[in-house]
Amino acid sequence: MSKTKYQKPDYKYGFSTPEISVFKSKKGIDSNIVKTISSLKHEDKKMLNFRLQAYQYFLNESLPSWGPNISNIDFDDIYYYLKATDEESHTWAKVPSSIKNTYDKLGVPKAEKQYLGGIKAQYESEIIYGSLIKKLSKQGVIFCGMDEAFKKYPNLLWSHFGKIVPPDDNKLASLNSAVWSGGSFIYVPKNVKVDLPLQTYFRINSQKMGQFERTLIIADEASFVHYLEGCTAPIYSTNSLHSAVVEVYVKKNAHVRYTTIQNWSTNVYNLVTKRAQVEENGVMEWVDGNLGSNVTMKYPSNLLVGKNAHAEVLSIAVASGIQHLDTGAKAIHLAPNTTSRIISKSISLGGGRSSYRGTVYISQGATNSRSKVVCDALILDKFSRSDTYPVNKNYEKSASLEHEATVSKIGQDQLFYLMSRGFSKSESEGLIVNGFLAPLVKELPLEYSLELNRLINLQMSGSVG
Amino acid sequence: MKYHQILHESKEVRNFSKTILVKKDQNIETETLMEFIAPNTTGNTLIKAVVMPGGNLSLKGTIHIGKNAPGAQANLKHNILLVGNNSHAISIPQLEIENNDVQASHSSAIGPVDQSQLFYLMSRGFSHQSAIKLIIKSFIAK
Repeated sequence: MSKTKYQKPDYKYGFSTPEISVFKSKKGIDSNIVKTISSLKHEDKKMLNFRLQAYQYFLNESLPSWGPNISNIDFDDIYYYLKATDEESHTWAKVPSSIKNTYDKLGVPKAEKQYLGGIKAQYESEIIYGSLIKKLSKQGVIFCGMDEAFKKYPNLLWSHFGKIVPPDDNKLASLNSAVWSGGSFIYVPKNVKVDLPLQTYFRINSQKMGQFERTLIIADEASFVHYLEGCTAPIYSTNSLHSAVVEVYVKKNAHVRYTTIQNWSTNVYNLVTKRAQVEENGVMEWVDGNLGSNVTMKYPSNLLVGKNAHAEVLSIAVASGIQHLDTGAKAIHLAPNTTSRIISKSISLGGGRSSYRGTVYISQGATNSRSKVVCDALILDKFSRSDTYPVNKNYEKSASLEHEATVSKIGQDQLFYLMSRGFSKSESEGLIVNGFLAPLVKELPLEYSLELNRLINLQMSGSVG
Repeated sequence: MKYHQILHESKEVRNFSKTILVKKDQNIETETLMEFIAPNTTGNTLIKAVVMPGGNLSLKGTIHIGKNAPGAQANLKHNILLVGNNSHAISIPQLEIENNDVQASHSSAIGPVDQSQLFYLMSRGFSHQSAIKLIIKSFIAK
């Protein structure tokens, strides 16, 4: 080890474009801000009351006492609402050129939208560009912004919104419920299989701006949908907050896959509540990649409420420098023959800290349920840290629950082998790390796995001693 | 009960194992902590438990490998057998690793009596109860 002190590298994928905004709320939060957001979005009384109630919960609750230190978040130093353009643009030509430039820098190809079935790009707090292939809407699939959804399908929304993650669930879910804006709504009708992944793109571009999107997915009986969200954000000197709430309903025999690649700049607090409810024979899969942010706390949860329901979580965390990624998963088995599998792979380097935190609970009566949790962690240098904090509760005598975890460094024999074949040390390490993550990267769509491999190589270059 | 072990001498090897029987309607809480603070140490913890009907078991085990303990090898194992109705078990195996030159692992399994073993023994003439007794005995002896 040649270095004695870790030097924080420049943000390698960072850039920022001058911000444009039509409306920006003042910093901080009080009930007036909540009212302003609601009136700017032309919401009805019901939503306003929902927001104000959630704001009260936010005031009364305290931050989690466990996990990473997030007490530095100054809730009065954040913009809670910002609208970039007046109207949602429905054609590419109408998208302002400065925003298009940002997309170009991010490498979102225009052609991708046709291929991927519809990109909902969330730039700032509102959706400014969305496209949907006609075939999908003919099948009855709804894929739109949350505001639009509340106007068009109020009954469907109110019977599902805030039910799996109630506004008093935790302080950050309360905050989101009070000031939420943007996000996607997806409804897939019975027996409809959506072949192409539905994709959305998130970005924070305004300094000190929080992003509080809401996502609601309802997969009706025997349907299938794959939803993709990816995040990148340019670097800023002050802290930014991203606190989203995601609710997924997997009805009987339905199958939902939810893929996230998170690459916030290292000043963003990424505190997200994600939860799915899985009914009889349903399958819920989460693929969760965490590369960026200062602190991430994210534990995709699965409520297995129907017989034979299955949940699967694949989680990757790559923590470097000042990052503390506290990720994991939850599986709550409430019905017979339910199964869950959680696989977590984490890499800590250059002073980073990655933690797995998860809960598996098999309730009494969930007969013959099975759960397996596997956590593998790599620590690449002596400045870094890795933790595993699982809670395994089995209250059913016919159910089995297994957990295993390993923490190790890069195997010297693997390194020796690759180097004897002519690779340099850093090339070999890169190969080993990519091989370590391969089982998860394989699950991603092609363009994401390419991006992920590239990002990991970028993060590793020069940082492995 | 709480068991705290510190491996503070270089090349120290320590194996800690414990078998717990949670009787009917009994509550047992056990916590182990193994701290590694010297180089090239090896430590293993093995907890086996049988939870009888109505019993409650809470097991927490932590391995902590500090910055000054390169070359550490650590393993923590929780094996819990649930016997009978209303038997509850919670296992919290934790790893806290502040060093890259380590081999650390933990595993935890909470499960039922193997039905095929039970079937085999009963087909050889054992009663249900004595077959279960035999399985518990072998689980502890393993």
